[in-house]
Amino acid sequence: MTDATPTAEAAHPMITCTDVHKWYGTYHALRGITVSIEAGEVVVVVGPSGSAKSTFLRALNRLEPHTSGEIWIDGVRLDAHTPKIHRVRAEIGMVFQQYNLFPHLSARDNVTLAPRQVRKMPAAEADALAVSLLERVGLGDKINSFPSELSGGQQQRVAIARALAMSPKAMLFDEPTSALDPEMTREVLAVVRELAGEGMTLVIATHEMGFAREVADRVLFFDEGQIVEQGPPAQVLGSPREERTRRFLAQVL
Amino acid sequence: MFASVVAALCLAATTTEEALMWASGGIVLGWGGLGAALLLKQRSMWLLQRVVIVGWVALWPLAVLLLFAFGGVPTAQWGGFYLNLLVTAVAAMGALPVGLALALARRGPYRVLRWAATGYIEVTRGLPLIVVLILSWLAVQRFLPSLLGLNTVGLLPRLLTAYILFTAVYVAVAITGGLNGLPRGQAEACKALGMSGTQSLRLVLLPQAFRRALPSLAGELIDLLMSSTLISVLGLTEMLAAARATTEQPAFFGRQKEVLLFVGLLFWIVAFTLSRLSRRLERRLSGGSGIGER
Repeated sequence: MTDATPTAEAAHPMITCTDVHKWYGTYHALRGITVSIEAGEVVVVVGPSGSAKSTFLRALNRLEPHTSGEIWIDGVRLDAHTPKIHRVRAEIGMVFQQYNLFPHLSARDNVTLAPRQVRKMPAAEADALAVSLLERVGLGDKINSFPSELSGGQQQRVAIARALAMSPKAMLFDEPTSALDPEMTREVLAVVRELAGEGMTLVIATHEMGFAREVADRVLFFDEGQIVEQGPPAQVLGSPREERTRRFLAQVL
Repeated sequence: MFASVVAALCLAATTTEEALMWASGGIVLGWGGLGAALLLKQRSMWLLQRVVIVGWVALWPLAVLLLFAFGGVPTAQWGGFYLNLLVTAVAAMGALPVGLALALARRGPYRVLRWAATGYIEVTRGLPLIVVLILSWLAVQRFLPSLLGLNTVGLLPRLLTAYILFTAVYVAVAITGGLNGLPRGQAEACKALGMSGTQSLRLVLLPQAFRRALPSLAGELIDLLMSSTLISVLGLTEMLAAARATTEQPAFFGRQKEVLLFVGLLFWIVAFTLSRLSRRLERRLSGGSGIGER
């Protein structure tokens, strides 16, 4: 337990956002996001490009500092004064569209780096963890491969293993399959599906509507920096109430 | 431990000049040992590895011992190709850590350090090396305090310091370029994993930046060898000065061509070796990681 972890008795959502705004200069990216996500919930964020899905996810671990409003992660408030922001980030895994693997390290070292350096895990233990995680994402035979020797889908699965190695309380997926062809998309989504089944808290931004419908407990429809509509996938994706949602779905389905 | 040995040697030295030479010896020694250990990190070459490392470690103190201990040759009288190699080696190895510090200070979180580093880099970049060398020759004697005998330090240690401080700027620029060329996602991935700024620099960003900077660093090294001939302007008899002095002797009148060709060949051999070594190092470092291909 780190000191960023509050007492277990306090029943609070994993992630709470209250009226969160983000300005880039004069551009208003996030326009009053209020949402709360329970532990174990799988939330899928959909919406057109430029709707600030990414910005929203990146605000949740303060890769993008928000301008106003409140973000609480497991009882810790994120703001400029959050002491040791990297301790909060260590508890939140993130998977990027561009994988962002470390190209100078093997798959194994990509996975063991943070546990060893941040969690001070002994080398042997970290190695064993890396092997088991890479096997779990179906890459048991690529342990010593470098990122440049792996396909996009394989790289993304290493990136998922790397995030999982920190035993995060929640995982953020920022369009994890947007750079992948359909077959690789399938192999990555299979891993995400498994995580969802295991009760991990997931926030996933994606354009894969079928996948959203299948794994989501709740779908958030983003447009122009706002949550236009939210609810169970069958309702939001099946019979949307809002005109903007209908228009978006008509385009992508 | 290593640093304390060097410090002890510095204290044991009787003059500041001697101490500075020991310190520069320590620089070469440290890097030499490190380089040998890294390049020969193969179990099959264990014996050779030992010999090379011990050889490297023993070489410098031996040279300084020979030059100082028996009667003592003042550094002002050191000469020949050894002097060129000495200047190149000490300047290169001293400039790497100083340049790294400058590069980090320039992008670091402390405004004062940032300004100081940027100012130092921009000013020094605008000066020709020869000006810096002449400054170290003239100004130091006038303006440095007599504390620790700094104002009486001999010409060679002062020139070596000047070379280090000058070259460090170009090292800093090369490393900064390497860091700026990295995709933003690399730093973000470090942050998302909970790594601190120092951890991400040390483990992820700098290793990649160094690989990217390697070609220009190798270029700087060869430049350094060539500009080591500049110390002849200040009266030290390095290789080129020695060559010129030779052709001025009656016995060698009319032999400039041969002498200069020989000296040129000598420089070419070392420069060519350095450039081949750096190519090999680049290939070795990019092996499997794919950074070199991008």
